[in-house]
Amino acid sequence: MSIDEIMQGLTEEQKEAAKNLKTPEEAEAFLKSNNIKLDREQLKAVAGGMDIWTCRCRSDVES
Amino acid sequence: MWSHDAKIAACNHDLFSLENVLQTLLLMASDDGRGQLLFGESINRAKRLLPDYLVGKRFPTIYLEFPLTGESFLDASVGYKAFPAGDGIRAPSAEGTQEMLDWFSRTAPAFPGIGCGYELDLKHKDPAKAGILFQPNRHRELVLPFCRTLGEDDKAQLYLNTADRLPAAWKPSYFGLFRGRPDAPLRIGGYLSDREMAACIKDPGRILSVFDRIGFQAYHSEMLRQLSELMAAVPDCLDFQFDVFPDGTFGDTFSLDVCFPFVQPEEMPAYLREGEAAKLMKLLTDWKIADTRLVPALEMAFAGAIPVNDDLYVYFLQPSWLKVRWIQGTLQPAKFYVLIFADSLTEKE
Repeated sequence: MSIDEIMQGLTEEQKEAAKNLKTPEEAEAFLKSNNIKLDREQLKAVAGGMDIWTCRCRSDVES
Repeated sequence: MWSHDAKIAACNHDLFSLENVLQTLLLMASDDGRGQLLFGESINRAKRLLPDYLVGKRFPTIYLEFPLTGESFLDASVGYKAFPAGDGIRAPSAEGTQEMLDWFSRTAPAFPGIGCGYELDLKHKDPAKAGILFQPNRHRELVLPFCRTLGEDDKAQLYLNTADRLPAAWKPSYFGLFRGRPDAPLRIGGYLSDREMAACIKDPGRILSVFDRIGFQAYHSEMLRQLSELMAAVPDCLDFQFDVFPDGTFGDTFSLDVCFPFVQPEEMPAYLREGEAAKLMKLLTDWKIADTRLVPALEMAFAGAIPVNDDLYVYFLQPSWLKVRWIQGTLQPAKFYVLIFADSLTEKE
């Protein structure tokens, strides 16, 4: 699912609530109560960009 | 088209400052009573001390590490794939590492895949000097220059000599060192190839021959049986770790890090309880190196997002691996590792 499709699936209330978040506590509450689904490939793309210590470096091992 | 940074900067508050993002992730990790149960008092030290390790504009690789039985505490490691030139870490526990960071910021762009970072002991009230992690992977030529920045030249030779002694399928990829402790061992780790893991499962004697070849003696038959059982239950892949003393002898600790594959966060608890990894989880509890806190540890898995202009800012807690460790051949409490991170979903410019 593209970002545009995810954004279109959000209600106006969700978008407005997101704009008004100020603190980590409010961010956490929003994340818990607004379960915005992200697909596997999107998450892998973000995760792959971050993870440097695990088997995700396996191309180095197998080569 | 706005860049990622411009989108974030356009917000009229600092919710997406790295420190606030970190605090949000730690709140999520601690939620539903997990804070005290899994991390004990050290969660408060994490909230206080980890922000000093946030540098630049992107969230680093942070792993939360905690035991699955025994006393509850939290340690953390912070890793960087790149480091902003001229920047530094202001934490007292990182004192003496500026030259290392300067070197890394100059060197990393030419060597994709390398990483450096810190291992933070948050268990104690007065955390000591942070341990240093370096992942040169196959770039052996970087080991000496890296160690030299820390005044630990001898550790480079120790790493390279040990790498030469290990069999081809057990080549190390990274190490951790304790600064200013000349007698402390160097922790050396690497990744077993799928082929080598399969060969070890088929023939447990293969591990024994590796131990004997390199002179690692802190094992007995029960440990070899456990190693074999564990390898047969690995859902994805394995890292190994040895301790090596300055005179080249191996310490009495051996660890295997059992990695989990990438699983959608909401599916992770079921995957580990009922899926491919269920056998592994049963082993840990049968061996009494994990107790009921395994369940809340798995339930920490999370991915969610906050809409920002026309983008999504993603928060993620991903159970990544668990460490099974033997000291003098005796199993120790298993340790669980959760990757926490956050970033914009937009493709990076």
